[in-house]
Amino acid sequence: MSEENLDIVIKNLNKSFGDHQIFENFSAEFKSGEIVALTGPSGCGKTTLLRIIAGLCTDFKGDVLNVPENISYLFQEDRLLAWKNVYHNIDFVVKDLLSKEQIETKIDELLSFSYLKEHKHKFPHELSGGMQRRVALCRSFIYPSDLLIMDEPFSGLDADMKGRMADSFLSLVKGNQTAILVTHDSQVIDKCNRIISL
Amino acid sequence: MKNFTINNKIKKIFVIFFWIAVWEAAAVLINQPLYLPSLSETLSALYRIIFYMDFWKNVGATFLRVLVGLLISFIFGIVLGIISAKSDFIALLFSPFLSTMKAIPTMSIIILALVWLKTGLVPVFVCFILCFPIIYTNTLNGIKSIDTKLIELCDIYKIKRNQRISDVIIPSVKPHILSAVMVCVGLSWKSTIAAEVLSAPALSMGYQLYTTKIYLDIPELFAWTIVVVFFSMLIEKLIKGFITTSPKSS
Repeated sequence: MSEENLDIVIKNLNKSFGDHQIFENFSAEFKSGEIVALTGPSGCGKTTLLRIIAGLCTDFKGDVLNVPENISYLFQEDRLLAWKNVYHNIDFVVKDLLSKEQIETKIDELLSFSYLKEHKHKFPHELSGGMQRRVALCRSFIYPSDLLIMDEPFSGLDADMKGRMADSFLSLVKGNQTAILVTHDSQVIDKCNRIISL
Repeated sequence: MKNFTINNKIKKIFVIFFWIAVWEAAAVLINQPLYLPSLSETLSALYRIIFYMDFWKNVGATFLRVLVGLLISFIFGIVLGIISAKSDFIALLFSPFLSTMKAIPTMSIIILALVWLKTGLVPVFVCFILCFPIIYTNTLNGIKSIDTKLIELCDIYKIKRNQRISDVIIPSVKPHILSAVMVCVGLSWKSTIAAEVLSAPALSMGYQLYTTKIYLDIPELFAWTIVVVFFSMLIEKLIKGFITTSPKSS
């Protein structure tokens, strides 16, 4: 993670899907180090905005400035590799970045507070939907990033687990790391610094 | 569970004995070894070919042709499949050739190969022509079916090329290639032996089948057929075993 991050700025964003205009001169700012919740009705463009910020969607008009280079993205779907176990699904994103010992320590840490330690060697098909979501969460948090993008990060978890996971994982967002997350959950929204309603 | 397995085994043994009994009854009824030899006649022919002829040399020569044919098919099928997946134009360029290959009767290919090539190479060529389109198509479809969401995941986390290939691309394409392996193992044996029958290379199982026709030695024809089926099934089982015991993850 870099020492200083600039605020992410979105200026006059215009984006449409066919005749359906999603953003019309939309502007927003995400301050370095803050946790921002994006809310709004379904189809209002929350995921599209995340994809534009991450650079996965380039078909738009307007400016998206100061997006850091290292981004961690928790997609709406878990996107786990069916042929890799829990451990290797997580180490997959940091194999070239960290030493083996560092990876082992970090994975053990992440797995213990997501209550998955004993499932380390299981494959995705052997896990419940909620467990798979937690593996995807671990994977996005092990990656050393300046910007953490999360699309409905705690979906599929029961109310109790959702609260515990939101507490644990959002406490890991530290320093200059910016986190932008899409959520409808008041439990999660309460833990964010700011809300942007689309 | 144990009882269930035992029951299944008993049923399987019963099925085998039932069909052997049907065969034996039909042989007794027809009473013409020229049309349908009995089990004992077939077994004594089998004993004769295994112990008194160049059995292993014939089996080895055919096995080698199958292996070479399959190997060439896999090398070309996989390499050209990858190239075609990268370039739609190359895929388009190959498509008429593949459609033609799939439609041409095997006998036409064998006869054409007899004109073009030396006797020993005909079975290898025929095996290649029949297996290559399957391996090529499966490789191409496998690459095309790689989940783009996983590629996006690799892009976001800046996964390097080599890791993408080993961790995402190969495991995604592997099931398609393995299904091609399963289809091609049986097909390669059948096509190679069919080509050997017509091209008659000195050492081959196909040539042995051909001589049974010349001498109207039907028990020996049955015996060689049993040998062919046995080796084809054995190799298929070995490959299946290898596939199921190979590690799931890196």
